[in-house]
Amino acid sequence: MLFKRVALFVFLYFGLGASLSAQIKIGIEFLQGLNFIESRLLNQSYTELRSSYGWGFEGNFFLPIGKKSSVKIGLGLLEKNYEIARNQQFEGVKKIFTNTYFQIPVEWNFEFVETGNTSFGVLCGAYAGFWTNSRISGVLPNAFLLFGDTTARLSQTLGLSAFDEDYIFDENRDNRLELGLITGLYSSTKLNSFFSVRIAVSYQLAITDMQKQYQYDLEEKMNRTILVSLGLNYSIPKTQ
Amino acid sequence: MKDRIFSCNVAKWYLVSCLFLCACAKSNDTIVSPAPKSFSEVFEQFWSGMSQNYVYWDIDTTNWDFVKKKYKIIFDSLKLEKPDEVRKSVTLFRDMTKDLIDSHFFIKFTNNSIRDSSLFPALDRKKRLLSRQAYSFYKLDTPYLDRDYKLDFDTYYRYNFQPMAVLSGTIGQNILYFSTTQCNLSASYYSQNTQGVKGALNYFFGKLTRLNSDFKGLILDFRGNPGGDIADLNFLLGRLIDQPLHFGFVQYKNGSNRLDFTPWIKSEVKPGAQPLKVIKPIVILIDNFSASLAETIAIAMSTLPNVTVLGENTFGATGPVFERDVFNAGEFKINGFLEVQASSCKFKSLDGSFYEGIGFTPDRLVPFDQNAVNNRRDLQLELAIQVLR
Repeated sequence: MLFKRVALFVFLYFGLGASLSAQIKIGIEFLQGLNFIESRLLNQSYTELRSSYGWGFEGNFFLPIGKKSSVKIGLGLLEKNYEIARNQQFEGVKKIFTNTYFQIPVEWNFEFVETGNTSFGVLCGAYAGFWTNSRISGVLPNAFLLFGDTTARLSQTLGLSAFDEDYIFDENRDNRLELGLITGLYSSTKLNSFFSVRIAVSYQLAITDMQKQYQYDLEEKMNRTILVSLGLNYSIPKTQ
Repeated sequence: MKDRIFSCNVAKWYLVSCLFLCACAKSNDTIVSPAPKSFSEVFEQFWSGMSQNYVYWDIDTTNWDFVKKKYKIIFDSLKLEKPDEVRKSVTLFRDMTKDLIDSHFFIKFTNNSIRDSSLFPALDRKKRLLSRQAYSFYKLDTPYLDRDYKLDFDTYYRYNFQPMAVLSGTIGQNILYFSTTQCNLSASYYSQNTQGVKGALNYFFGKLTRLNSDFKGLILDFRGNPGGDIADLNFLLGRLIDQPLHFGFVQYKNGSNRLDFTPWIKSEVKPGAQPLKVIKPIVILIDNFSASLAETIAIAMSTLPNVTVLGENTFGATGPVFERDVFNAGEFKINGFLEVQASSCKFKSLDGSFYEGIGFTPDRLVPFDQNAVNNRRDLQLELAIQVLR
């Protein structure tokens, strides 16, 4: 499945890129994200939300607008993971969510400093994502697994069970379309007249909930992602 | 599946250090709501408590949003200071909860004006269907047993004012019989304070080691047993298996929204310290009042090839109940007004069947017969004996 997506991406990337006559840049970026969930943890005692790392990659088109700015349109996959963990006497109990999104970010890049071959700039934009697949793993107290002294508190005598499964999407519950905003900084260094390396740090703020509004007083869950990206870009020469 | 208590450290790798941006929500304490000052607050706390803690929202047909629409306005008009309006609220709570399928769902009112009131929707439904109360069969069944039977009581564990009674004996010297009116065997057995039911249990465990050689089979009687301590699952069933018994799945809440659930986790019983592979047939007796752990044991044992379940449909209360903090679901309270007991998680059998609110159907349906009981006959036990002979 992943291979097919990559193949489709490469086809679009190079096929479309070659057909354009304006000088544009195309490139590929590898992403590392640190994601956390914004939620109020209503009703959850001895619980905390923890951030988790995730990987991703993205194919990009850079369409120049004037001398100092460009619009970057990307297409890629990104993991937005998080963890719900118990603390104190429940330490060790946790649920790890590994969520993969297919994303199309559109960013405006504005270059504000240029020194030699290196330039620095700011970026801002928006993205649309689709929650393609998800895995849930972790460790839970098992209601039917008891140990030791039966007169002790149940929380001290319950055994734990590990699990690692595909998350089954529920069309009544899960909102798989995600929209969000992006802001960040980048630096680009020209290696020669064709290739350049780009490093960016950005923050993605989802503005849509991961769940549908299926009940009154729904507790929202929103992705918040810090991304570090490292990309290699190729400037397609202008055709006369 | 890992099956021991452990604390796990996740190996972490860092390419960026952005901890200042990663401060996440954290809750370190037991959730305690402030005492409500008005009926609006009582309703809001109850409605939210149910919305967040009830574990059957994905299969229960009660429309909880509609309940808010319908009842909020009524509660808003009531005055918490007026005892007659407080009493009126009990009827409203009864109406709101009458169709909930959780058969452990129980409301105990703690407000002074209604301290004598409680709600138990599943039992109310059962009473409408049945013309009888739970029956203590041990009084009827001792004549069926050989003379050296053991009947012990533990007065510390009472249900409907009756102490836990454990009866064990042999029938015709070749059938082993065991019954208990509650599942608090393990706690009673290991109790330092009382002899309790230790004598009857030791008698049974002693005979059990010779089950395969000296007996034609075993009858386990859980009729009228409302359940009890979940430790009894391993304490009793762990002695009848020699390898882990996978008998179903359990699912927990995963957050405070109604459809926040974990994946289904395997439910297993582990063999005890003295495992035994029972090759002789086992008959389990259940009835409409076999509830909670009693029916879970019957469901678990029914997965064994040599087990026949006899009697009536069980009560249908299969979701275990724990302290609220263990699973962040189930019970909750409204300070100074009421306490809710409810299942902490959901159970389904190996074939995916839910028995909550429905009950587990035995292999052979044998209804309770009041006329036979009046004539000192237990037709369900008689059929169990017939199956083993």
